[in-house]
Amino acid sequence: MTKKITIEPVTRVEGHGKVTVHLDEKGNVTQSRLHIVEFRGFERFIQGRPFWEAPVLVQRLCGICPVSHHLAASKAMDAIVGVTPETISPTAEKMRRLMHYGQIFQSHALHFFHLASPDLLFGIDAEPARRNVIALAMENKELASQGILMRQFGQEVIEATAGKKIHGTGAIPGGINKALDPQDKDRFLNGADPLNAAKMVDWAEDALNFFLDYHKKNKEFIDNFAAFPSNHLSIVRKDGALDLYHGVLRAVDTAGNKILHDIDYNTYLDFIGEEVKSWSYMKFPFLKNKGKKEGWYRVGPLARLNTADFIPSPRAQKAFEAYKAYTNGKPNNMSMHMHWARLIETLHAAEMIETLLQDPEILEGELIREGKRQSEGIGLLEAPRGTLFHHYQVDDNDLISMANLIVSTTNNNEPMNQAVHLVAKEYLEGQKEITEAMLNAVEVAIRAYDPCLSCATHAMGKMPLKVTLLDASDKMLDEKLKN
Amino acid sequence: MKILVYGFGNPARQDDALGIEFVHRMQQMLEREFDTLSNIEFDIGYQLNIEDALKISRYDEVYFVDASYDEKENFNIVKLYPKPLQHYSMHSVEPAFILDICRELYGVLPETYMVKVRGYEWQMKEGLSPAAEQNLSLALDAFQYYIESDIQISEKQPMIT
Repeated sequence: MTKKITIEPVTRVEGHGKVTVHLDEKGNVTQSRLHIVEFRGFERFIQGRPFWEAPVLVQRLCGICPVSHHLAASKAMDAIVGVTPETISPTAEKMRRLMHYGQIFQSHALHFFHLASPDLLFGIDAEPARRNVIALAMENKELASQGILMRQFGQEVIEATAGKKIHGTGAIPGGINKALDPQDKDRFLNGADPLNAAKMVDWAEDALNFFLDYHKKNKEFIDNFAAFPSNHLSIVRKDGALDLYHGVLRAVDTAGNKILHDIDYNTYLDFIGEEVKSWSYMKFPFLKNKGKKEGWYRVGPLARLNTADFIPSPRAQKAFEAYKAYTNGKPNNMSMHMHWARLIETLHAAEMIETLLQDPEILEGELIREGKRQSEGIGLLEAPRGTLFHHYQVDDNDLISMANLIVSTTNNNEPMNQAVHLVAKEYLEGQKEITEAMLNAVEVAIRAYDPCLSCATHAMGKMPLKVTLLDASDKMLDEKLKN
Repeated sequence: MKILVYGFGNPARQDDALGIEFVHRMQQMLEREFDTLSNIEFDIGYQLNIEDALKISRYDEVYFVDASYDEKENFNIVKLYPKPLQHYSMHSVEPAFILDICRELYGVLPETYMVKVRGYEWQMKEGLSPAAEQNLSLALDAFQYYIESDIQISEKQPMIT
């Protein structure tokens, strides 16, 4: 009998989705899909609101990376008030960058230590009770504690720059509303161990070394698990440097050829299309010049280290050189190397935080500027999970009349589906019994992309885990519910 | 004794804001009534997260406050015990799980309660529904009485309305 296995929601990713794997009568995988089952409707929610509210309102999209939405919306609103990345004040840009690198640092630390490391430490075939953060804490308290303190440090940088722990107000159209308090600068640079920038740089390097050591012992798994060729897209600085806050759009193919040549992101609609598929609420972006079938691309740490020519901070650059040497300078298409790339970026973020804190312009200077009012604004940046697009139109009454957001996870939609299919074929095909380890392998492949599928309401009783078994005609054979 | 009242939720999801609203209004109510609130602190969050284990390790008594989808009463206060989770998502971190991390990682176990206020509407919209607003008002009155007596009386029982 043919059957369909449904895993819903995928665990240990932000938000929830479900995975379906179709098996034929011989147990061969015929189709596998990552479905996004919640429709967020945020783009409609924001229509009719005054444009200056957007940077605060859009943070409500996500509880894990609100700063990315806050800053992308602020960049778009800069354009509305006539301020460009070239004309924004140095103090405003540096404060925003500090906020952004604080966000990257805490989000990457959270992902590696508390979402991915249990899989790495205990293996994807470990019993489920061992594959969680408590097991990690019990067996490696130092690692778990470091992860929490790195996240706390990043959160404190965000609070000092955004003004509030949640729904910060630091960035406003045309600039920022305050410079950094000298006491905060002193605390972050010279605070008692371990909560200071120098210690965070050291710990980020320790985490990278932890991964490299793991890689040495588990090369086959790390190099081959869910590896597949793809295009890669991100913003890079005009000189080709890794830049997570601002730059031009670049894409490379699997051989490293440039297929999007450092374009001004204000023209993104000329180069990027979005395909709709009936079985998912999430769209499928693609490069128009390569078409729907060949034009899909990956975003995020792996893609960024494939598009960038170098990293403008010394310790991360050294790590980048070793990383690039592993693939002889060619693009890296190994999905589990996403963790390696993420940890190099974590180190870069820590170095950038330390550098920005030492810059005198972050303490004083012009906070806000204005220019010629525009009716349309586009803001892009590299969020922890990848390229984030915010695009707005504003009417004559200053109200938002159109919003289009392409979030990082949407950009990674097709790659995640590709990864799920590869893993499903490898682990599920021809098996008589579907084990927990096999199902977890599918989830591990998705988790490498650190997806933020939605920010569902989390009110108690609203997050069940539903596993449904259906035959080829979608008739339910079995269903299990876990809370 | 140090007490933390910690509400969490998404203010853009109607009644999901109950936890945050509870904390804002309770803080205002207590500050109106008392000159100093040296042993009670308030905090809010969009959702619980891993570092909250470190936060609660610094208190003797903790009250988590959240909207409840399936609570049958208008509101409820129940004692929490540490509970490990097998399936982990940052969007479904339960208070009992945070308590478990706190115990395992920091070796302390604050007396912890869950205040659940029943909500009804969860659309992408701001503002509480009228029914949730009423539940919040009832919960605030009861909690104020509860927390005041907590300061005076060392032994207390979980309360069910």
